[in-house]
Amino acid sequence: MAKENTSEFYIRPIRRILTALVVLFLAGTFILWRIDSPRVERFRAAIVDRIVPSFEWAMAPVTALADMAENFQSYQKLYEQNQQLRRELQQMKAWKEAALQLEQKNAKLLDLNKVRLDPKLTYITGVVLADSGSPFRQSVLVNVGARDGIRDGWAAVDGLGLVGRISGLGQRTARVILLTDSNSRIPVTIQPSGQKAILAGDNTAAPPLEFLEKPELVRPGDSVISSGDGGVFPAGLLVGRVAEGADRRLRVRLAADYERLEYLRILRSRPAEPITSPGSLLTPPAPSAPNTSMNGSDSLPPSTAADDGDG
Amino acid sequence: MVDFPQARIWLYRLLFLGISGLIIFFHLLPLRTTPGAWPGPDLLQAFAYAFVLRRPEYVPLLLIASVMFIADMLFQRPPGLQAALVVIASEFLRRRHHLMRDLPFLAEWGIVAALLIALTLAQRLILVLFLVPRPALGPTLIQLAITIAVYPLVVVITRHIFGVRMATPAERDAVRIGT
Repeated sequence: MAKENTSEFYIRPIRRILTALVVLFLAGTFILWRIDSPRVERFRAAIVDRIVPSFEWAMAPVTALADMAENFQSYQKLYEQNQQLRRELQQMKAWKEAALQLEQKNAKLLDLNKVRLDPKLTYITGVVLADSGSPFRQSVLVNVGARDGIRDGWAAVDGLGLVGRISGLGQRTARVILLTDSNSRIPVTIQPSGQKAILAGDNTAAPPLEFLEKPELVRPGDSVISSGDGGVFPAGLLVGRVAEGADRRLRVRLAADYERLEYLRILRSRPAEPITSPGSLLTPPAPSAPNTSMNGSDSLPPSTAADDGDG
Repeated sequence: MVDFPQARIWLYRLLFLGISGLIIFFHLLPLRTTPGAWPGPDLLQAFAYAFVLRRPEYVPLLLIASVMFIADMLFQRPPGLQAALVVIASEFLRRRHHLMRDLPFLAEWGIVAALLIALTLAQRLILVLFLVPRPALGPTLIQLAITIAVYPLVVVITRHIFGVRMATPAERDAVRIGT
């Protein structure tokens, strides 16, 4: 007992100092994060970039197995599902015919009217590596990063609808904040009425619409597309359909299949070209060629008269 | 199985690292990309406390700190906050682990539950003070309750599957001399 006490006598203060140092370091990181968030978030992205891809070899098979187990239940209803799919396919064929004809007609009309559309968006496809690992954050990690030319703020879509946007970039990985995350805010347009709103994620499956000017013009079932306001996000991406939640708020049922996020397309979006000149005064062209002073063109008739007098 | 106490300690440290890696790995699997599911228990904390109360020398301070810090980073939590709190809690338990040996399991469970509750409260308070957006209260409380409920199971796994038991006095002396 005596020996134990003497060793305790020396070890204890050292332990205390070590503990204090470690706690100080950790608390310091937290405070630094609070002060200079972008720097620490870059550090975080670098850590994730180092660790998660090294898990990749194990993640793919385990995820596949779990998905298979989940899908196994649906195999039992294979026959019903098959019948249903056949019926839907019949309807879709009719729709496809109609869509093709409309597309041709639309192209012809656009050509006749010389309408200029946005250049088509190109994309990079990434595989989903990991999710956020926490029930309080909704984000996924994809296996493309700064190396592949990805930038912060670009949109991620699955085959059908908008999924989220890039926020946090490593060399080999990028984090996609899903529309359902409580930090996600996307400007949207609601289609038939053209109302603008903000889609604000709140950690539920159907995020609510906020800042609607005239909610009475919006009905459940209206389609919601991204509006491109603010110039960060490409416009015209399908987001989902309006639905009324149990709390009587207007929410959006997302078009993207959040159950199976496997491959994501990251859309390359160029920043909108800014218009810098404030629209100069329109004047008739000056008759004499060597007129370099700007004052001369402000009040044209007298100055031209003066010019004539000089010449 | 391993006779040298020193090698045994390092083996168990590696084991703790492995368990933590596995837990983080399963958290990160992209299986749940839809929100609204129930949050799971915080197994990292539960295992850390179960180890500290049985064999504090298996989970040195720096091991717990680095595992929790990496978890903070990977799980998109405020970096360092939960890690710092868990380090404080584990040191609190480490100081008292020799008292725990004589107490029944219920007492241990109660102390760990109190610590977990205090930790959650402290974390929320700090987040409020630093004006950080806080996770929703409901899921946080559910996670807390599930973690407390799962703790006995974690202890059973630690004791009977990994064989981490409280040291007998003779073993403790051996360890003291060894270090």
